[in-house]
Amino acid sequence: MVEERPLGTTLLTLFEAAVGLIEINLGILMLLVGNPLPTVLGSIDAFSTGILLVFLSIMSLFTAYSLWAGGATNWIQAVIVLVIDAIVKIMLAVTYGTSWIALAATLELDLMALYYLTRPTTTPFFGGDSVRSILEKFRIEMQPGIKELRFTMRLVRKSTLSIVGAAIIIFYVLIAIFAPYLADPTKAIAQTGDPNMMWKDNELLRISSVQPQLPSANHPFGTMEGQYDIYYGCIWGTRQALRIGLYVAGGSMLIGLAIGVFASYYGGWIDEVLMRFTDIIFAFPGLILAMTLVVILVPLGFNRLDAVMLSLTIVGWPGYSRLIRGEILRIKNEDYIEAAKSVGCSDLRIIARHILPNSIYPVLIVFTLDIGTIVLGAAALSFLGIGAPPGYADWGQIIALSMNWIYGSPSNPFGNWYTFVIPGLFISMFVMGWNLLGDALRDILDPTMRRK
Amino acid sequence: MGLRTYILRRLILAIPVLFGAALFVFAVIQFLPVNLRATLYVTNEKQISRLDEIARIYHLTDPVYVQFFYWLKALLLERNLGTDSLGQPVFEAIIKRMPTTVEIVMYASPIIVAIGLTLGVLSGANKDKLIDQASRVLAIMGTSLPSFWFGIVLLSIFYAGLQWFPPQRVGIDAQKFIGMANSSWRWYTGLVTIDALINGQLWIFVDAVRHLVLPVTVLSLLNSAVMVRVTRSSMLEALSKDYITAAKAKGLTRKEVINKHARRNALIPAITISGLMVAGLLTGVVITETVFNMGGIGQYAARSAMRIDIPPVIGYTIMSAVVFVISNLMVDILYAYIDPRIRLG
Amino acid sequence: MSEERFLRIKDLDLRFYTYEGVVEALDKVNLHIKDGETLGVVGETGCGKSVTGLSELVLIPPPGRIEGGKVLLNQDGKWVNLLRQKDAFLRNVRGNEISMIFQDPKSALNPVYTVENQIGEAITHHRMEEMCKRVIDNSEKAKEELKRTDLPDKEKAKLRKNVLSKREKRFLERIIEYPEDTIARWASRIPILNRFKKRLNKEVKKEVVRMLKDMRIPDPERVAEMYPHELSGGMAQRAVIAMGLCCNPSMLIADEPTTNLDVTVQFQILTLIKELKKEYGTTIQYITHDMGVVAEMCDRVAVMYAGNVVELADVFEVFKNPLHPYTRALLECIPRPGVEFKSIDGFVPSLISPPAGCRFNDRCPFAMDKCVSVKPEFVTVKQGHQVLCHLYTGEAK
Repeated sequence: MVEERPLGTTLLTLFEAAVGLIEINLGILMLLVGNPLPTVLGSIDAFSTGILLVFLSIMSLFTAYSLWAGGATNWIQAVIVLVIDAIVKIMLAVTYGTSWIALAATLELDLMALYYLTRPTTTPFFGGDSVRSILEKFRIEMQPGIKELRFTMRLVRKSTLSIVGAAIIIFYVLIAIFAPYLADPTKAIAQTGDPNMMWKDNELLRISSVQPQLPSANHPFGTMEGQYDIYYGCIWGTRQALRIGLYVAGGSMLIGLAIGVFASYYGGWIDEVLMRFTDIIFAFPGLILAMTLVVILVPLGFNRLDAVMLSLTIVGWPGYSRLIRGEILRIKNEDYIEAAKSVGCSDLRIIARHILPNSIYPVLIVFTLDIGTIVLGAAALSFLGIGAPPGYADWGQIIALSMNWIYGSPSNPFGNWYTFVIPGLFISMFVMGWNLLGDALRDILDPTMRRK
Repeated sequence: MGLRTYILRRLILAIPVLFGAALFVFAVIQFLPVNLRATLYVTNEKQISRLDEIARIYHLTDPVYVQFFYWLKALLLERNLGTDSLGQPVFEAIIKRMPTTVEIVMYASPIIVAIGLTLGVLSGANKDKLIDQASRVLAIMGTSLPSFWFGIVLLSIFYAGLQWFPPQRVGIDAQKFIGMANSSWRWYTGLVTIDALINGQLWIFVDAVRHLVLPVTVLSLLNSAVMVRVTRSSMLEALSKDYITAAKAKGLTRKEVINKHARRNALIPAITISGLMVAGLLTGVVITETVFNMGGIGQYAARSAMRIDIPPVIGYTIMSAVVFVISNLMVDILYAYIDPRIRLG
Repeated sequence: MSEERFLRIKDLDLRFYTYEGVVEALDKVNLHIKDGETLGVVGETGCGKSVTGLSELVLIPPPGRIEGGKVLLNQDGKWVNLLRQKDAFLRNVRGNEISMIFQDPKSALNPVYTVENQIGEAITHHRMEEMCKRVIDNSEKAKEELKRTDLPDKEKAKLRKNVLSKREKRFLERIIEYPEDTIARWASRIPILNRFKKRLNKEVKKEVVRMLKDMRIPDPERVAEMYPHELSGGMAQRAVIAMGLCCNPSMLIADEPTTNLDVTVQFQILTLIKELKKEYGTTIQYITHDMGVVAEMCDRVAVMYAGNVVELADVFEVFKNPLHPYTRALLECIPRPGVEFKSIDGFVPSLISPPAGCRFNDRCPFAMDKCVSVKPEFVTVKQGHQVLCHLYTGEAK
């Protein structure tokens, strides 16, 4: 029974009434409202631009997934849904700016997912059960899933490593969100127009154009060659790191998943061809291939940073493809798939309902670890001069600028320690946070270890 | 399946991968305009001014498959990898720098394997005890530290601070000795350490070793982290098997059970990770050689990339792919040989 | 077979501490095995029969812990509690006095070592002295033989192979005197010095082949050099049994040795075990879930349910006159042609929060109020027949 809480019941009744009154299908209704989860992310969206593209792609993918998973028997309906979806999003974007898209998209997603999870298997996609019975079915169906989730959460809370990792990550995310308040970008914008380029201290430039300066009141972490403020670089570098990490990891994950699922679903020669392609990319060490791609892309007109991101994405997606394909193939042969088939589930439904939820865990773990790896790789590329241009707020780039000063002066060999130690610590801590979280997740989600 | 069939199968599979890799590199190059592509076929300075002729010889305006054929021909038969922006033929430049890189890798690889396997086995056998926690911390640090930063910090401490381990390949005195016109120095292998011993110049040997300590340390420590992790989980898996209980039921001591029964089963899958180690080394040398100014292939590739100088980067990439595929092949064969389940089919 | 008791388990409590809670795997388990008999331990999956066997060898893996009770072994008239012994003592018992063989032969054998290596390992561990003596004896005999003058050269060459040099002989004698000798151990690793090891290994291999022959394995020399994955299921199980019996233990714990095998192979293995029992006279604790096997192989039976031994009696008694309601139900469930297929209603209780009283009470047709809250006692109803049930606590002898 749905718990009888007065407010909840009232809302439900109101909602039911609304649905009944408007006589709009629950499905379409969902498209007109948003979803709480990415609302939060959407707010960050308002602060730092550029993540919008990834959001939209993720939203669209989830929408498509929900439709697909719902087993839309009528593809025309599915297309209609998607088109309305897109129109609504564009209208909102144009009228209210980016965060509202996220808001809209997310509310839509939650309800879509709810609907997908609760709808009875026999009614068509746009069927109409009362909301209350839907929620009831939801509770019952989700019981084992919720229990599992609670169990997982308990393990997560118990594991100190994962708490530490998560704390570190949250710390960095906060820095990124509040970067403009922690390190004022007005001077940087005044000098170059781009808050991501570090600002130069003109006064100090008059004293010496290259000699790094020790930390002082004006420059908490000191300055480096060219009198760039290291503190500014480190703070805004966090944004850059998160941007690269999420973009590349997210992008390569989406592409990799799509191709991997596609290949293993259809099998046959499509599978063979796609797998050969991933084999070919795997023949190269990752960073080396990325280097090559950057070197090709730059003469073609990409700016270096974009080239780096694109290259890392191209190098990264085969990993996810192989991963998801391995999981799908493994699960495909298990008995409960046979059981589902014998009951008459369609292939799509089997993949969405049974295979994907079981195979997604390794992907999540790899995603977490990948963000760290990618940031390390991007930092290395920046260090070698292939990534961010000099003066850009990128951790690897700052260390590159410090190369000439690591020996200090003969009398004071550690004199310029702040030019490389501080940015390096930023990188290490960042990557360590993701590694800890990923490792802890791996230990927690490993089925053989769980029942100990 | 039998060992011979397995080896044959792997060999046959490796060839299309190499071919595909070459095809991929070629495809990527195709995005460039003709004159840039032509630089990939240039072998000496004079030719730079005659790019149209180059384009004609190598059919750079013809359909793709024709170009591919000529490109492959240039690559394999003429050993023509183009010229870098300084006018040096890439192939020669790589060959000249090869010994330096080989020397570093030669010392780093056994260290990586030794640390990785030993620590992994110990870690797995003593799960959650001190050694396990310590090695897990080391493993996490190893995968979190940027290698270039680690190198810089070590340089700062051990060179700027303590003056123990300098960067570059050899010190000034040794350089002078080797480079002198009427020097008694003879190159045998191209590796400074070995040749110093052969030449009987012990002080050069010591000098070279001193210069190698930091780069080798950076490469080994960071690359062994992955190996420790994999060996550890492989060990844990082996220890959960039935034959371990059966061995204990026979009355064996804990040490015997671990060292004799668990260890071999754990090491076998860990060997397959050695392939990844090669990839890590190929990438690592690029960064490490740059940081320590060693003058090897990696640094050459890095400097070229920075200048957007395409031929050396392509050259290094092709070389990496070949090395990587071949080493994976060898690792697979080794694995098949060691595991009796595959060896005897 | 005598009335002398060989092994006694008294009030054994075993708990597994898992994330989901504490699993009360064994709850005051009581049983005894008589010298030379075959005791069947029968029950459903999860009733604790396997861990009982493991407890006897004190081989419970963490997170399990034995929380109470005694495992008493009769050594030359004295009772020794195995749970309180040091590791060195236990290692001497394992494989030597009490051996255990496992359910899946292919996974009980290490896939990267040959059969010979693994069986030889047990022999080397426990019968080293005997093997060394044998090698020395062979050497002496060969020396004697060589004194004869009428031998063809081929024979002489063969005999010379058996002769030990003085140094090798000294190594072997050292091992006999100091079984853990480090010098001998190091010497066996150095190439030239370790020739004595080769003779030893040959002798061990001979013994292995002899064991395999006893197991009715055809072409034992070849099988000895095989790896586990090259053997069939039946063959592998025979090898495992050989591994268990090679040191001539007084007792063999067989944990469902035939469950993973084909029916025809099952029959072969059971026959083999019966024959071996006649030859060696080993006491056997046969763990199984198959009542048919029990009827075939065992002299006495212990019926287990949800971590308790619920009935312990002579095999004929159990089949003719089952006292515990669970035993009765079990026997009724054996499929018989012409009789309607029956099963026991309900499910085995969760061992994380087991019932306070008798663990069978929710499925027992004779359950009384008492059964829900009070644990029954393990009482002797008549000579050699014990039950864990409230129905019989009044009739205790």
